[in-house]
Amino acid sequence: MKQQYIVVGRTAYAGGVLKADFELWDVAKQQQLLGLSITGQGSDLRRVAHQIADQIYQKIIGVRGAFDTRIAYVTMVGLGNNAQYSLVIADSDGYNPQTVVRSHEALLSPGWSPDGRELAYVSFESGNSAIYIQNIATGARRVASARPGINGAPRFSPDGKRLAVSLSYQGNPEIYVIDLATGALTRLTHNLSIDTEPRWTPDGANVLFTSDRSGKPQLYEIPAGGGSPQRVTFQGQYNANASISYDGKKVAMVQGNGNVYRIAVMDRSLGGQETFVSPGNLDDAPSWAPNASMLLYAANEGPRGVLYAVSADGRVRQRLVLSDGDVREPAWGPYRNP
Amino acid sequence: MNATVRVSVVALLCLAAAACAKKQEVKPTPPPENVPTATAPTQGEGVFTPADLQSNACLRTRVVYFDFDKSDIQSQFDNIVACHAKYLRDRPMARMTIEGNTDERGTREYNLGLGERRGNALATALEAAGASASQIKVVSYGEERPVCREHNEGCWHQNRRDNIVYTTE
Repeated sequence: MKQQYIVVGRTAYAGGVLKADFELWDVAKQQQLLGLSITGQGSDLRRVAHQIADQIYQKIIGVRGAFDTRIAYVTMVGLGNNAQYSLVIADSDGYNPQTVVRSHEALLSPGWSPDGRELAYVSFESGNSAIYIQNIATGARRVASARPGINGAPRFSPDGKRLAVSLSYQGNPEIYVIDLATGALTRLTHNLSIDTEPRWTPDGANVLFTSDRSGKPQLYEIPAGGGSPQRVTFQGQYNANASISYDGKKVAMVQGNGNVYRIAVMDRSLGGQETFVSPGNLDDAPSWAPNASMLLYAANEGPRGVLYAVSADGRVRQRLVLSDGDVREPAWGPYRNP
Repeated sequence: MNATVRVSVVALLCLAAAACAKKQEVKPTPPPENVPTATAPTQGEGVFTPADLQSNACLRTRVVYFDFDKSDIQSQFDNIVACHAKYLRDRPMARMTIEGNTDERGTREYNLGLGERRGNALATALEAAGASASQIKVVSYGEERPVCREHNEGCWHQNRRDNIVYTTE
């Protein structure tokens, strides 16, 4: 056998419960690496399979697998007054899509709470942008901000207690942090430029954001309690919409040069070295898997938007099989507890 | 005597002021309501009414276009700014929403900011021409409401725009 590893297993159903036993073997050493039994609802075959894949991935790669995770994205069908937007949640590979919000007006910027129970997003259903937080299981939702002007780009803090947003009610888009328990607002930026797309560093200490204070959009970093922003990106004419890996080392972003917008990954542990992981021309919205092995992004194929999953080094790229219509705004959810 | 003179002077001033103030309304021999179409009243001549929003060629134009990544109002749209500002001056109860839009290039959230900047640029120009800030509301739709969906400059140009929507005529 030329294979390095082999998995054997069997499934059994008893009283609506699925039980899967499997073993992972190192072929050359003739050594068992894993021997586990996973149970789930009879209808949860896919989830159990993903959990097995996560165990195997972790044993071989040494990093927790991200197969048993969910993604969120937005679809649009129809045009003009007949447009129908949906905020959808699906398995990480695009299966089991479930619509959690439907609207005739645009939906954008979904962001997961760290426990995976809530989504923050922007909806234009009132005629202007407003930020909502919605419980996925119950559908209950509340308004996080519906001020005059732009209410955009919500992102939960790593502890889930705060929401970073971009608001323009004081004149132009600035970065604010909303304390979700009290509703208190802390303003982080003070500049006449467009400041938007806040992204928490994994330790919650800093916020990366997009600003055109130097002319074109670039990424900056500011302490989450306020302070002076430092510019982070220096390659490319246009850098925006960052996604930060779980370890804080890799920053994926939209990088525009001329009319070509591609996803670039900057490795901050390697002195800001950058690689492109998508071909363009109008790629947007990179979102890391929780283990940073892959990322999702939105691309255009002719008249419609599609989602791709690409490995962190850009070598393996696959289009997700999703519903018809225009698909955009992917957001990879956190790890799930089995 | 002095008092009488003073009174007549005041009366004369009042008359003159009234004449001046009324000139706009009184002077045009065919009242503006009866002017058929497309004669955009020049500054100081005639007062706009809601009917002009349908009949006046300048007021019927409700779109201003922008260059890529720019938000300045180009001089070719000066007449559009002037006639809509005059309408708002003539009709203090009138209200408009300016909808700022961008093309699809770049990120959605950044484009929300850019659309707002374009809406604000038109609002500022209207206010500089005498409209009241309280008459104007700006909403940005970013790249979410394209009128054209092809991926080329011909299409992008049509999408980089402010739409003027009268919410109270």
